[in-house]
Amino acid sequence: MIGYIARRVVQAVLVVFVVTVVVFILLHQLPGGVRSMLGKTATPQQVAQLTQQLGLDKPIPVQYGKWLGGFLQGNMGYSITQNQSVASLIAERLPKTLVLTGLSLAIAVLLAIVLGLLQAVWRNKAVDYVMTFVAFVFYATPTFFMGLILVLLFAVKWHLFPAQAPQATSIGGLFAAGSGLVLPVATLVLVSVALFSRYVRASAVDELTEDYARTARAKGAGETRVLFGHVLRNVLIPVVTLLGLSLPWVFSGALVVESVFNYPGMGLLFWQAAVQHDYPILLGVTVIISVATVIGSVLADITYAVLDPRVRYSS
Amino acid sequence: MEPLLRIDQLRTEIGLRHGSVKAVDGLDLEVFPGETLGVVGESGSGKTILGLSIMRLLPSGGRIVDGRIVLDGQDLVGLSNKQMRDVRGRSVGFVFQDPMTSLNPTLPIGRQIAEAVRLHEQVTKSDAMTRALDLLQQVGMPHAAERVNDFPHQLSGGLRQRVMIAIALAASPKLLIADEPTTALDVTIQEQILELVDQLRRELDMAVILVTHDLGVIAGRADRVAVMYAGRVVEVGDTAQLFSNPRHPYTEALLAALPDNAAATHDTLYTIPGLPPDLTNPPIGCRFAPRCRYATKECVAAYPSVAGEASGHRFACFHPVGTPEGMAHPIGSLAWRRPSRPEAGHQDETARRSPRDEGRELLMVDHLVKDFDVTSGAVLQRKTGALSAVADVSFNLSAGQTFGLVGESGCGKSTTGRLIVGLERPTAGTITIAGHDTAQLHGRSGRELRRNMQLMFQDPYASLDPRMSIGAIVREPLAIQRVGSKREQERRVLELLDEVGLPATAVERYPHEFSGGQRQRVGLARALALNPKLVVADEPVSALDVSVQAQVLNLMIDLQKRHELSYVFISHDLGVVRHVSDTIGVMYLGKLVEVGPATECYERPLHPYTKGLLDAIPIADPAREAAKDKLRVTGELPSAIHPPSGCRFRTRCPIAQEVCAVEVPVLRAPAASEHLVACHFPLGHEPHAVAAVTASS
Repeated sequence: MIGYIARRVVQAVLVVFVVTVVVFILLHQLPGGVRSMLGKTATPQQVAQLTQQLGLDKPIPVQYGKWLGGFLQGNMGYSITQNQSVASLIAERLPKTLVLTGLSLAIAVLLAIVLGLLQAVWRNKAVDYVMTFVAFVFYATPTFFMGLILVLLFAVKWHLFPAQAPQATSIGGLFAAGSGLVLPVATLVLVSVALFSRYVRASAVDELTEDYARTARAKGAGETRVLFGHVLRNVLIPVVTLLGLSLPWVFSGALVVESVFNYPGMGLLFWQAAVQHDYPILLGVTVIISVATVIGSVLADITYAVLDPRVRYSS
Repeated sequence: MEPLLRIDQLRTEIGLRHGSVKAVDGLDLEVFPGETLGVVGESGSGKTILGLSIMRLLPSGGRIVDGRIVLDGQDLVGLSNKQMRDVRGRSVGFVFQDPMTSLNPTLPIGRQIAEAVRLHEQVTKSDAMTRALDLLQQVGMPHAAERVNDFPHQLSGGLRQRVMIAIALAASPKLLIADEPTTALDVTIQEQILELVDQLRRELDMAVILVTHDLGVIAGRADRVAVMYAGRVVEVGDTAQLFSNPRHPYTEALLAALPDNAAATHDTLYTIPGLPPDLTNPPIGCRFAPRCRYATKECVAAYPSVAGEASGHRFACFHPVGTPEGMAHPIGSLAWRRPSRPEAGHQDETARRSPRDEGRELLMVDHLVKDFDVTSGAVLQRKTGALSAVADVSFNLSAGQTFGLVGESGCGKSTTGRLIVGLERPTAGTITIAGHDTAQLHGRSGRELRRNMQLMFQDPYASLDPRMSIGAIVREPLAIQRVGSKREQERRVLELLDEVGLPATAVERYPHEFSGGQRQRVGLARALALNPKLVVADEPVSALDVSVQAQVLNLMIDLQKRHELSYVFISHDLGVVRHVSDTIGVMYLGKLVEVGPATECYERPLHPYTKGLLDAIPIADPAREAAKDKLRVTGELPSAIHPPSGCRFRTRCPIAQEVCAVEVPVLRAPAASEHLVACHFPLGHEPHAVAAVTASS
């Protein structure tokens, strides 16, 4: 088991390294550059001066080496527009994004497990079809549109929740103004629940007809026991993998949600940086998200191993 | 005596999109306390649905339409789901067929047994675990205390089936239903499991319903037998009586189709023509009538009533075997017993050949070795060991002959087959086919030589691409080898289909439209497309019912005669292998332990393993089965990563001595014959060179 984890971690480090290289090169290919930072009135001298100041005149491998050296020491460069280090900006924003995505994912998965199991038990009945229909409608709705509809209904029309996310600087502050979290979290939950509930349903329908479920019934176990004592564990195994793989998708959802609700997280930071050509921030955020994604998939694999003894012992 | 279980006119249907299958259709049966009732039938006979009906655990769409299932005075059909849960496990225990899938892969076995205890008794968790441990010991789990927290995948099939039995016995039921409990297991393990069930039945004084397709299993273990056909019991009676004096023509035909009962090797086996009826719309009359050679108009018009004898031997037939009208065509007088091997001269010539007569050998396997790497390591996978799948195997095969390779799972017989056709590369040793060393084959000449050898697979369902038409499947080898034009290839496909007994219309159809036996015919047609000299058939009939198995074997033998084909016939079933083979090789854990003429090996085995294997195979004859002086192979197959030193069989051998752990026995003939054995103590002969070994060690 320890060997298995060690192997996955080494793989993960390699993946992150490759990701930083690719992102670094891609960002340097982006149009705009120093000229667009300074605006149309800048003279060629000013452009050349800033280019040299930012080290952008050196070859890409050299720039990358310098950036990587800094990154390994926790220094991700300095924001061009915000007069703050990228690391401190991310340190301030990342926890808030984690709160948003973590909360949304947890609620979405729990909801999906309940819905999926219910659908599997009532498969091919009216309830099942209605749930499937609704889940797909939500799944097919663009995230920003879902956000706007929720704002329109719950904030503008019924005044139940605020339309803007809490602007607190600390995590505690976020929860203190908890009602502001409801709509951003709800948006992410609604658009992602179908992703998981379809999976849970399909998996549970299969598992309920497996031989071991029949063995449990032959022991005299009731359907509830079969479902929660036997089937659930086996259903969760594929869902955990899906969870790990869905992280990039959830992060991109968070990016949109944060800009819709003006939520002070990393997505909003990224959005603003992209508009203002603030490369160090773009690079830092992209790397952090890729690290988070890789960690997520490693965690999923490890959880998978804990849940599935066949994986645990074969390594 | 009052029956423990009485089933009256049971009707169970499985609903489909269009109509429903009448899987059990008017079935009567009684089970008495403490007895073993064997229920035998082919696939689709309704035997499994019968078992599941008693448990009320029918697959989705299934329901009991009519009838009564009275267990201990209580009609199970009318019980509520809640009441039924008390019956399951508590009154009736169930052992399912496939121990690989019937246990929850995510829970330790101890907990799965303890759950069964706690569902029926008010005990604490720790008491239930203690009971689980007791049960594991009772079912003969070695080192039970250490195994109790193991997960199912850590156990072999035989041990998993022991866990299943422990679960079934957890609440001490009065009736145990075992549905094909040993079909997925090797014969030596099957013997152990059947013995265990028998012993537990005596100890716990419970009744057992043993459901199986294997007449041999029934013959050795059942007190009474019920033969099922198309949803009904056609004959029921005392085991000895039913086997010695079958009255229903179906029972008689089933017995005649067994390779054991064929007069001699290569005889055409008796086959039952046609297929079982479509049970969505069963015929009014006797369901076996369309396939029965005694059938008259009467048989088609109405279902025969059950006739009986005082002894309890009952059968549903208008013209039972043994009555004047049934005697009109005794089975022995039929033309199915064709003379064996018309070219008798050929046979003599073969016998005179020396095994190393290289010029005439089609296939020569010489010191073949295959190791699979075992890797481990946290980050970099290093090779840390080798799994010895095939260890120094040599044999020869002449044109037109069959070499039967027998052994249990994990013995390396399939790997040997794959090595011969070139699907794996040998670690060492050579394979020569028609004078060419297969290792030297590359590119064009390699492709040409591959035409000479083809593979026939075990599973007729998984080995045909479901999205390809039969025509495309059979034509594919021709297309790959670019033989002839498209038109010529299509003509060849029709020829091949005709040869294997499939209609020309099959070309356009898809695999799912065919039965298992028909699919295996397609597999044979595909293997023969390129006119190979050698066909390696890996368990070609093990997935088929007895009557269908006989048809496929007859076809294979017939085609061999017509085309001078050579077969390497791989099977776990010694009866089948003996029937088709000229020479038999018995494999154990990668080693060839015995090689010799088929009948010799079968009648006078030299190796203790061969004898154990033969004794473990249940014979469909209660008298012979009871008279067997069994050499029991105990324990489980050792790991092929660390095979035992010396003789690999010594850990399970009843006659092993010290020398067996030291010296690797080599294949040699104890007497002047072609019958070779790799054993220091060949049965019925003076020990081999033991003196020499003790002197040298």
